[in-house]
Amino acid sequence: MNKKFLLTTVIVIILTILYKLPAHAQERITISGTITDSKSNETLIGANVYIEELKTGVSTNEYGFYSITIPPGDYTIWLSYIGYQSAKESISLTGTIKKDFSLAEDSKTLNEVVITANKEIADIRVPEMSTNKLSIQTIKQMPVVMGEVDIIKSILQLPGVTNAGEGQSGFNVRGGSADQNLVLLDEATVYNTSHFFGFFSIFNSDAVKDLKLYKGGIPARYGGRLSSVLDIYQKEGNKNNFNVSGGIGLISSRLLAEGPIAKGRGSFILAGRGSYAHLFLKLADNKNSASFYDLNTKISYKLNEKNHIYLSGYFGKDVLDLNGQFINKYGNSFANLRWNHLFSDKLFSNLSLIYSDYFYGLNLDFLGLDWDFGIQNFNLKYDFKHYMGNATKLTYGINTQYFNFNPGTLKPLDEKSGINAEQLDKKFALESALYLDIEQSLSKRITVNYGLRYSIFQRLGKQNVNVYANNQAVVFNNVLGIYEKATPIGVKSYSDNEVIASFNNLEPRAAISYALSDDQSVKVSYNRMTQYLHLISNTQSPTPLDLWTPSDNFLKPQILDQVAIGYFRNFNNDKYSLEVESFYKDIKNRVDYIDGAQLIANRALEQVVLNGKGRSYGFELMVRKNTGKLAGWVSYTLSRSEQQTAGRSANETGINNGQWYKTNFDKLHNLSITATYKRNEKWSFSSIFNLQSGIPSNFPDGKYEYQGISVPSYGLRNESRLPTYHRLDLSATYIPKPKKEKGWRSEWVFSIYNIYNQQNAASISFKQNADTGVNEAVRFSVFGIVPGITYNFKF
Amino acid sequence: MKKLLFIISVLVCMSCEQVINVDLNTAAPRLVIEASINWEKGTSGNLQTIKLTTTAGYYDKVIPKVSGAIVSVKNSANTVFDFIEEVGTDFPSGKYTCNNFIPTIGENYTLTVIHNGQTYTAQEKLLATPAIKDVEQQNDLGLNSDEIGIRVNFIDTPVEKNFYLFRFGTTVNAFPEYETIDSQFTQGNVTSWLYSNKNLKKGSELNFTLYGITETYYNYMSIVLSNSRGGGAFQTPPIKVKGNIINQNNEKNYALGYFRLSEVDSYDYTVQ
Repeated sequence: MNKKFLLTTVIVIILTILYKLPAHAQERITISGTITDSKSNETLIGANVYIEELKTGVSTNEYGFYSITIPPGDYTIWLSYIGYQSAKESISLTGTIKKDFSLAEDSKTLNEVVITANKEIADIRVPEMSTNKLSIQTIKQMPVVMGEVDIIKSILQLPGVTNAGEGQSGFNVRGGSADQNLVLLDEATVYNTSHFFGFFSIFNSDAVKDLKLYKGGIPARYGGRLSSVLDIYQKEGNKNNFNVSGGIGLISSRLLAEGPIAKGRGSFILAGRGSYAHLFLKLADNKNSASFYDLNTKISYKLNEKNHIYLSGYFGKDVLDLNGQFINKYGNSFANLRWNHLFSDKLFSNLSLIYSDYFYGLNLDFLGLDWDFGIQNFNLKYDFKHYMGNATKLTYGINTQYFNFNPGTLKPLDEKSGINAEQLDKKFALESALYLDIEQSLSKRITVNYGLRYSIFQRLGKQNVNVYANNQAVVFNNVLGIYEKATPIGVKSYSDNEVIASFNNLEPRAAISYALSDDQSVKVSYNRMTQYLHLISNTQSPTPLDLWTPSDNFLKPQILDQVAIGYFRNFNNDKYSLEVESFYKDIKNRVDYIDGAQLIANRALEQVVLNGKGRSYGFELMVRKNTGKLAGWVSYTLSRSEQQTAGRSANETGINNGQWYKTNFDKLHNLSITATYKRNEKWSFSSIFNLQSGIPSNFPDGKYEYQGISVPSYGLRNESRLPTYHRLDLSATYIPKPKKEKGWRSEWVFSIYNIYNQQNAASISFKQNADTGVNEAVRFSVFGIVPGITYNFKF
Repeated sequence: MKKLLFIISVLVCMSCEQVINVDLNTAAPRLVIEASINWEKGTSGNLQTIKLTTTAGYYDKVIPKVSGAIVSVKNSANTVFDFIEEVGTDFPSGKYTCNNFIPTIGENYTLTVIHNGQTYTAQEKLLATPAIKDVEQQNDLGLNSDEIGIRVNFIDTPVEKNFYLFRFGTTVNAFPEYETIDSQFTQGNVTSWLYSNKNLKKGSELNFTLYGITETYYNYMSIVLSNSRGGGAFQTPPIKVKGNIINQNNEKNYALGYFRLSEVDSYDYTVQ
């Protein structure tokens, strides 16, 4: 696409909008404010403000702020938010005013499964598509392994979302790899979402207020990852009362304290979670341990009507120590300072300063090696939301991030070790972006959202960079027909902050919604995304040892184009809703690895990677029952995810003979049924049923004997498939005293994961039996039937 | 590092392994040439054997042996060493023997195998191998500190980039185990591998063999070993792998196996 043409077009559109607006603004007034929970004063994200007479509305932003500009008059304002009682207020507007609203939590709907916030008409009319919201209430009720509430596992029940298998870290959205998801916790990037190698996720559900998953039509304010954005916000804490809540489970215990500070001008929240070491692995010997902990903190303080400050942090760590022979530690942490400032009742701004850090370390006794890896990331963001009236909203901002990657610090483990201490060359990068997003109603039926993101990525010194003949770090051995590491012909030294490589991309985004009627619409979206950081991994599924690495002259930025089309409909007074979507994705420069590539502690990764391409397409269907004693959804996805790395010239074979092959997480069919039944005030029940195609695998097409061992022989990649996967989970929640409003309140959650004890294959290994030497096929299954119990309390 | 991924896989899949039957397709048989020239330190290295077999079905009990091939190795001075098919009670054994082979460190050799009208060739260099320095027994390995392991030490040849293959032969495993090692982090230092097996006990007999190998063979053998261990969630998936043997008549009809030449050092040890 022609960058100049695009930029010019965008500028013309903006000028047109800005030019047209003042004429209307003169006879208009603005009503703005925040919407909060009536009990805790916690702000509500995505709450709807709807003006009945004008059939127009707006929803609150990430900080609970709304602003709407309309002609003066008498109006009926409807306020709604999932899990809350809707409110109606008649108001006579003669001039611009500030008006805060609060909504009461609806105890009756508290336990109902409702997953889309923008319910009612707004849902149908906004161009936003391919997004899902899950309420924390819903997530907490879903049956999970050993009762450990898990945000990542719960989003797997949504259409288009899957993972590489049970107990695996990460998730895959619409056929994208796990590193293509931008996971944000209070705007800070999370580099690894898993505890215990993927059994559990790092998010403490008690401290989470809201989450939203964007699978397509991704707004221009997000960038840096191809496939999805999982945007998670932490709670701010109760502004009215001091509260303590917690839970005791089989794996971990949680404790959360929250309350007002400075007489309600601010609030704090402190939530901790820790696992019981030893218990999980059932290791009696105290030389072994496996544990994790995480800590969520947030302080919010309102300086005055126009300024609000937030300070939030997260610290998490995993430790696995096997008798000192194998020690693995890893963790994410971040600190974030944010300043909300209202320039006017129409212009909201937020300035964020974020520091995040991800590290892992390994002690390997059998190699005598101590190895540390890490990423440090400084992020400065300045975002604006401009409520222009006429239901036109501009979102624009800039952001710049500095990265410091440590690919490895190697040290000998003890004096006996022959390991030479070494610091692998650190890698530095600067990623900056400028964006503008416009949401606009063109007519009563048509709403559009379009925007542009301009991103620049620079690899910076200081670094010594290998130079290769023909600029090829991987060479093809014509005689043997294999790819090999090239031998550098020289080294180029770059000084501090000298630019090693530079990339820039224009990323257009667009979405349009056409309302066929008040309860049905058709939406179409397109987005281009660029990803400059890659998670280097050639294992069957992601491991905590995979490392992030920035783009350079050899590892090109990945670029995605996605189109999606959808049909949305609400039935029976919104009792039921239907979402049907279809998408096609095309990825350039998908990372692929030469056969036998060793990625851990690799000094010259460029010598084992090739740039390929990827594509995925699919059809998603979701039917929900939103209200009633029995609620839930059925989600079905039919999709394909493939990749190809062709030869760079006619004499090269490419990887896998240059043919398209299925990605490790390709699942043709994926069905999920989630249901909740509320029997009475005390008892409610929940269930999940999953039925999926098995993931692609390699089965041998023969064997041979070599050096005294039996070696299975293989054909092309991922041509076989594991058996079909299916599982049913159930849970029951018991609230002994549902009417109790104060003092000690509690609930029990009983769960059974995989109730009919299906031995689903996580992998099938073809190998010799160590005792008999006979060839076998060995099925690994992760979880059989797993019961769980959790006790939650609040006072 | 492969071992590391293996450890994690074992951890994640706690006692959830089950042997199952899988219906598998069998590809057409392919020639397998195991041309491993091993020159034991302190011997003449005159006696060498090359094995010819074909692939079989994954579950087949018998490996078909290849008879009637013409096998020879030639050095850079064009001296040809003929490998003659063994004729014995177990005929056909697929074994081709040479008793006048002359090994020379750093020498380039060419293998030629003619079978069924197809000529297969490969070229490789004979590499030196350092001596195994010593071994150390450890009795506190494993999750319960009750497993025995033997650390085998040797001194990496300084300055150059070196690659090694370790073979661990034991009475407690039905087949030998192997590890590929590179010296990039232990350049010129003591380099070691800790071999452990939960079945080792006092009196278990072990034989350790160290081979100096080329980088290409290191890459090849690393994939072969990974394939033979079966893969798993946290390991690299098994893939098609091809050695250095080329079919001169039809490139696509290649042979599996490898032509490798190494000086080797062996060490016998009885668990104390």
